[in-house]
Amino acid sequence: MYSFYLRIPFLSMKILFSFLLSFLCTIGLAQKADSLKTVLLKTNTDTTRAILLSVLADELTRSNVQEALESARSGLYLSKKISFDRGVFENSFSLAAAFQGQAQFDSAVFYFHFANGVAEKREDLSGQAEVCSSLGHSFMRKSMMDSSRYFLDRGLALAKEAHNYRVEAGIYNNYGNVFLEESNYQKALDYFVQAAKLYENPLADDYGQAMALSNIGNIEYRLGNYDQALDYAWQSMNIAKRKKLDPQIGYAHKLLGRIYRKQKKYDSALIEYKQAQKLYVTLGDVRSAAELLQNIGNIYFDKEQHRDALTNYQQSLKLAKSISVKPLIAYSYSAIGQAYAILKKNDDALVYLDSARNAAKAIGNSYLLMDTYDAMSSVYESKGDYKKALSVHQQLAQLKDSITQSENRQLAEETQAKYELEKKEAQITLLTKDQELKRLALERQRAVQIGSAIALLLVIIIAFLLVNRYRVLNKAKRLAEIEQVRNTIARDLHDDIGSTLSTINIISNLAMRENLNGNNHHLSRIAEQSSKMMESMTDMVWSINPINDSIEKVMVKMKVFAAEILEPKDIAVKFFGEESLNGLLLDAEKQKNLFLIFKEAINNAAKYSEASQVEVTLKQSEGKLMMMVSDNGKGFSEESIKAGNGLINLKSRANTIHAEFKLSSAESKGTRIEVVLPIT
Amino acid sequence: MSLSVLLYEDNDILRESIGSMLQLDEHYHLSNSFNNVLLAEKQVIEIKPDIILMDIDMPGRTGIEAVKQIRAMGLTIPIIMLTVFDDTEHVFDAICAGASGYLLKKHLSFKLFDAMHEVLNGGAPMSPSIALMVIASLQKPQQTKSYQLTAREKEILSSLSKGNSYKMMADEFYITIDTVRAHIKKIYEKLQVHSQTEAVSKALKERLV
Repeated sequence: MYSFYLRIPFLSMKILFSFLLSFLCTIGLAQKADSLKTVLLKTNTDTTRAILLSVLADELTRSNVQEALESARSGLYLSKKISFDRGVFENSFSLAAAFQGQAQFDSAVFYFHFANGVAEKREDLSGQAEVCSSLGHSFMRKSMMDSSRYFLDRGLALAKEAHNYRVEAGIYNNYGNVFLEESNYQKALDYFVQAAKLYENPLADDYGQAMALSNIGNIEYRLGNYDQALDYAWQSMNIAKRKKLDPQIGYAHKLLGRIYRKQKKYDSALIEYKQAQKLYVTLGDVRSAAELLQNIGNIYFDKEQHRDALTNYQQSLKLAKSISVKPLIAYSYSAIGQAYAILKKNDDALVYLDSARNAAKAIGNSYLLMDTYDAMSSVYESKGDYKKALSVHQQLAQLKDSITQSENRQLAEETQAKYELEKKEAQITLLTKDQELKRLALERQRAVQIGSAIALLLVIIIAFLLVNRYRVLNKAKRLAEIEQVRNTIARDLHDDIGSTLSTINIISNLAMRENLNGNNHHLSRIAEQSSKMMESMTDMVWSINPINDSIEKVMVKMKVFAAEILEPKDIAVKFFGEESLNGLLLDAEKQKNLFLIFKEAINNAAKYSEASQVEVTLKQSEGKLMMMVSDNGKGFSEESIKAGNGLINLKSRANTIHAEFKLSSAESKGTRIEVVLPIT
Repeated sequence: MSLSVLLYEDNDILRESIGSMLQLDEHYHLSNSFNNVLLAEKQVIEIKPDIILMDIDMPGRTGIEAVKQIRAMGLTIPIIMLTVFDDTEHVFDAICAGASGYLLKKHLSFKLFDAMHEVLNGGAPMSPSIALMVIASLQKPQQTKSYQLTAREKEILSSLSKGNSYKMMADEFYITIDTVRAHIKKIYEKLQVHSQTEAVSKALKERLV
């Protein structure tokens, strides 16, 4: 299922060499490698030799690991000597891949890191991405999933940056395998599908697609959906066969075999495995051929054809030994041992199991070791050598414990790591929360500040408005108070003095009546003066009353006065111009003086004119108020005008309010008084 | 026989002077005078005057209050209010409370007997300011009381408020001065009738309570 050690050449020169060799493909790996060796011998350029060595190493990885390692090492040495960075990269990568194929992941990781350093130096993004992808694969095989993910993520970012879809697809594949290892089949499926898409478009890589399909099939197999698994496996097989993608054909055969085995269709499984095995032999992929011999052996074992199983195991061992693939050798020893045990050839069994034990110990495969111990214990038991059986069993128990311990330790470590991670995450969360809180606090503080500022501003505005309002109100109130006080004083004064004056008036009248025959001159003067004073006081109080502002009110008062004075003397009075007044407002001073001028004029008319009619005109026009009082009485000459004391009074009143005053009279032609008052 | 006059006036000298004045006319005699109206109802019932002269502003209780109480007792005795000013709400309030007319104090010495005569014969003068107040009270939107004045009465009021004399109005409307006077008397009556019914119902209510 893993095809990642099959490195896809991506450097132009490598592709060129691969292309040169492609016509040999069908011949098989061995021939291909031979051809490469021939080309190498004929090449003198060091850089080309270095690249060729890495290509050769890649080719030999499946068939002859030792040679592959050898080739890559010499390539690396050469490249370093001539300071050929690309060569260093290629060969260290090939070396790492070879170690990976040997399940020597520590060495693989070391050389991958080395290659990565060179790629970084060369600013080769694709190279770095590919190294990351391979590192991810290595760590996955080491069951270090977090490290694996780390490198796969890094590789993915680099691949995307470099627009290297092939590496990207490869990383998706590796990711799928990571999830597969973790039994997260759904996620695995997602990544394999993603890989398949990329292989289809834009890569149009049938190999990749076939591989992705077989990977999907593998997942279905894992999920126990054997029918679907078979379907995908066959799809993969068809593509691979159509395009003659031999390694993929082999892989599809393997997958089919595995599925059939699960379905207990041993014969079908055998057919597939055998075909695969044949193919790998043709391709010179010794390792895969050896693996398949083991698989075939397993099927025979399942079919309880133990002899056939043994034969295949022995062939597998032979091949494994030939290419020095230690894990495979160890498994082969164990398998042979168990087969002999079943065949009751206890001594043979023990020999192989012992070898298996040593090999397993050497490669540090505890599970294989346990298997081997278990088998050994059974063999000793069947031999009746219970002491040995017990000893082995004890070893087995010890191993189990140590594994459990190591598993526990691993688990503990993982837990510890998880705990640390969680702690860190918690700290981060805490920090974030803290920051959030601080931010909130800051926001709240700011909100409070803004709120306070607004509130303060509002308070200031309100206070200003209130103060202003208070001042205005206060002013109005004070004015009103002053007004009221003035009115009260005037009225009280009037009430008091008015009553007193009334009393004086009444008493003087009473006195005159009692003294009908005497000289009442003084008494009548008292009565007259008190009466006049009452009038003056009424006018004074009236004129300071702000309600009497409008000129219409003045006119009402004028009418009342005129009627009061003139009607008893049978003098008709008419008023004109009322409609032009229009609510005109006069200040108290003008109002008072205008009214007093009017009164004087009416009094004069009543006393001296002997008129039958008085006409009063009060008219507003062009910013001026005109008052005219005219009678149809006897009038008077200029001389008498000068003599009149009342006229001086009228003029001075007019002057006070800046009004023009005009008097015109002639004998038998009546009298006319005209006052023009500016009102603007 | 002479008519008995009851006088309420808080200014002592003025009260005495009015009393002296009343002695000059044999048609009238002062039956009694007081400087407050605190016991007015009782005094009116005891004295049974033919006419009452009443100052508006008096300490303790105003003349207006006294008029209201007297009218509330169902008494129709003519009451003339004495006032310094005719342009205050007091005069109007007094008329609405049931006063028959009013007399400016400055006119006391030469209009007192005329005023009493007019009032006793069912007519009282009305000044422009009073007329304005009547009109204003008619125009108040929240005014629930309707004096039910005729169109002519309203015209008279309007003309009066503009300062026109009775004579001027007679000329304006082509009627006699007596007719003008009759209209004004009617206006007085309508104002008082309303205020009397109001006062009576109020008094009844108070008694019921």
